[in-house]
Amino acid sequence: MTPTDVAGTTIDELLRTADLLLAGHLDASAAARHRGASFALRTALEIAIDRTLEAAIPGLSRTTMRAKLLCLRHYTAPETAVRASALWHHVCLGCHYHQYEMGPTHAQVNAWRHEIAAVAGRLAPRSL
Amino acid sequence: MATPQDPAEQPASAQPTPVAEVVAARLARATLAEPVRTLLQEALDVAERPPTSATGRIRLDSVHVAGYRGIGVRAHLKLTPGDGVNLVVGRNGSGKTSLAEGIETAFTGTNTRWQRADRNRREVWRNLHGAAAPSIEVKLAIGGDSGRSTLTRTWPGDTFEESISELRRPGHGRTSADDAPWARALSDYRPFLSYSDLGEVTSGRPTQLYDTVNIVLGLGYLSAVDSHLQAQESQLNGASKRVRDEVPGLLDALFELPDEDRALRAATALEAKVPNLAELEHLLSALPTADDDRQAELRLVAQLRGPDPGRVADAASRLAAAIGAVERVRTTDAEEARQRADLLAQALAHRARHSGAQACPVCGTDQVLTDEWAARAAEQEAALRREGAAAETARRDLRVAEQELRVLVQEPAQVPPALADMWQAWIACRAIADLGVLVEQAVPAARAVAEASAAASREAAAELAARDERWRPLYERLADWTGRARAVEAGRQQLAWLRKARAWLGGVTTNLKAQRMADFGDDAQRIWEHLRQESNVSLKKVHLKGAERASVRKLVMDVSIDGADASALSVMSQGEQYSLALALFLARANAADSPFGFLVIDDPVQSMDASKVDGLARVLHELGQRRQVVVFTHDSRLQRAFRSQGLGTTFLEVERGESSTVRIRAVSDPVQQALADARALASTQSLPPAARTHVLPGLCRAVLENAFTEAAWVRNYRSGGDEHALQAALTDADRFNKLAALALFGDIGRTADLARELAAVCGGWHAVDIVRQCQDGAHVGGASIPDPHRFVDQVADVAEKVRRRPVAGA
Repeated sequence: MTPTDVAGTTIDELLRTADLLLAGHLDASAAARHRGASFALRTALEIAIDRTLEAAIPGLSRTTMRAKLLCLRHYTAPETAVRASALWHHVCLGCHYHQYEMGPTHAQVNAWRHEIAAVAGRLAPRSL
Repeated sequence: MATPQDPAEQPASAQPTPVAEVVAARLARATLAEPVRTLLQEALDVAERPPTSATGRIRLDSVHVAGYRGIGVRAHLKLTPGDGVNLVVGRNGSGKTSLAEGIETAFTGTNTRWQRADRNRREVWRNLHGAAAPSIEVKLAIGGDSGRSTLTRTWPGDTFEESISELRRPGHGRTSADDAPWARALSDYRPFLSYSDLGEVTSGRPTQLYDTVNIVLGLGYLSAVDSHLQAQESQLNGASKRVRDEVPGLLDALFELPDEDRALRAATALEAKVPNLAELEHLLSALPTADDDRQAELRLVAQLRGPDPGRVADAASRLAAAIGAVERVRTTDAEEARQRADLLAQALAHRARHSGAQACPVCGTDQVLTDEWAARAAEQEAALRREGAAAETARRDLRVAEQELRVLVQEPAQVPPALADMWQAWIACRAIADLGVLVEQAVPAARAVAEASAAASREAAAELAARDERWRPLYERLADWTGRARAVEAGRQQLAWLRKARAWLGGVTTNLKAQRMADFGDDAQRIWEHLRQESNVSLKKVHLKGAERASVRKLVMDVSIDGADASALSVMSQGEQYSLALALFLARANAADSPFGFLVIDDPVQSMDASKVDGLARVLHELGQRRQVVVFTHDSRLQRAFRSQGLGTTFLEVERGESSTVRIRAVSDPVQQALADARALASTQSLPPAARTHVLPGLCRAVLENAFTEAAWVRNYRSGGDEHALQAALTDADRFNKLAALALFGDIGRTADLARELAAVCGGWHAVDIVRQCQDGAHVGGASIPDPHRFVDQVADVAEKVRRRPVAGA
């Protein structure tokens, strides 16, 4: 797996997509827009994590997310790894219906969006 | 996903009949004497009817709230005004509690939360965004009405308590909500329930619980009916007692009139064992006319008037004077004097005609009619005429004076014997011929008779007055007493009928109370059975202990823990207590006499564990067969519980946006909802490609996730599986495959068999590809989806087949 996916999608593109969905230009329920944005954000975070791991040990990004998050501690600042891990778990909650759980709120997704931009930024310099 | 209902889940009792109808029906069947029946009927009509009779059942049609608490711009909640459960779901702070409270406030002008809040926290009730003036409008569907009624509440100022309410009801004009026909029922059958109400039920004093349940039994109407009968009975009893108690006093008073023959007779009639009312009535009718001699004589004497001595004396002195005057002219013959005067006048006239002839024309003597004679003759003529006139006047005056005196001698119609002689002497004055004697005797006779008569009259009047004074009040007392005694005697039969009527009503009340209490207890028990789930506490019996006005009255809830008897509240956990309170409250909402066809419940599940939530969903669904149940909840477990058990409900979602803009929309079901969202995304042109590759698959996966989750619940419910275990398994199903395995096999471990089963269920291996694309697309790799619309259609097809499978497999 490369840092960008098969369609060549970038972190910035995903963040912009999340912004568009959060801005409300879509005739879907708020829950769907927030959930859709969560998907885009989670992918952006996963790309940032994969990029870090791939730069360290090629092929490491092909394992489970749980393993990736554990490995991440060794290839970036521990604090950043903890933030990335916590963030990923949170965004996952936003992606699942989780037994009829109501979707995430605008504020929640918006917070994730900024945290992901920050964490992606912290992950990037180390990998370069 | 309609699933057939377990017959055991069907409501045990049909809609109970309002108490007024039950009693009317029983009265129609009862074998009672006609007057007793009439008494009961009158009392039933007079007593204030239970609220159901006043109006048809009330249901909610829609709610508009603006500028109130969490709601800024007008939020609109549209409901179906029929039976059924409406689940309004929204996260904390979405404004759902503001809606729930809004309904309560529209009806009552306040709400329990407000009443319990600390003063300092009471300031904030207007919406902070202040976009709209606070107003609440609830449209109501009232059974039997031709159109909708509108209940509005607005606030002219900043004080929450000072609101203005208006009820517009077709055919009834406008009134204040306080005058609404259900105003009183609001406290008796409160159709609003919040979490804190439940706490109140369990922490309330036993007497409060007793009263709450007692009201619900709806027998207050029968108490009111009995009060009417009792009032009549005690009125009759009181009258009878007073009549009895007054006899000694009356007798004492009668014995103080020993000279009264009738007083003695009255006393005898009174003293009899059964007072002789007929005799008393006879005496009373005879009393006003004088019927004994003494009384008659007294009245006669009292009216007696003698002559006026002054006038008699005047008349007598005038007569005496006239007598004297006549005496003075006694020698004068008035006629003789007139004729002599005429003769002299003629002689003087003759002499004048013959110009001084001095010879007398009668005797012929010459020289006698001289001038000297003429002068003397004229003088004499005048004297003669004066003398005659005086005599005539004196005689006339005498006649007048005599008449004047005699006329004063008047004889009364009757003279009392004691004064007869005196009157005789006076009356004899009329016959005295000698006027001198008359003058002499009339004056003393008149004086004597006048004085004697006046004295006698005074005495008689005084005696009459004395008699009246003692007698009249007693007469009145006796007449009053006799009248009331007669009424009491006439009421004796009425009293017997009243006692019969009350006895009948008492029997019916006892019987109905037992029956209704049993029904209520059964209801509570049944609800508890649904809610208790794994609790080892079983509710054995709910009953009222003590009489309605007893200070030790209480609601007794007999429970047993693992078979051992115990007291309900002491052995229950907080969650169990709330469940029990809910059982009591819901049983109350079901009461026959409540005019409310709706029930608003705010967040009922808070401290319940998952299995109890399932039970609650069943209970609410059951209640929804007969009531419009509106449940506000932030907890998606209740929604899930309804869906997983296939209980039909209307789902509404509350969403709160910027500036307290609260939107409420109907939610079809989570699968349809997620599909609609996916389609909306697929149709949006302006989104970047990443939305299609990374967002759309995620939303489609959510569709499948929902379908699998639902299937897992339905499968588990059908197979009678343990709900805790499923809950744990679902939590454990961190991967999509595990969830799918739970849904298709009920076994989280059989992920290896998924592809084959999925292909079998969906009729082709393409389904496996679609599911995989959804999974991949949700992560870094994304999914390459050339035709988004077709893809969503395919996902919809898979989801539908997964959802249908449990039915096909059952």
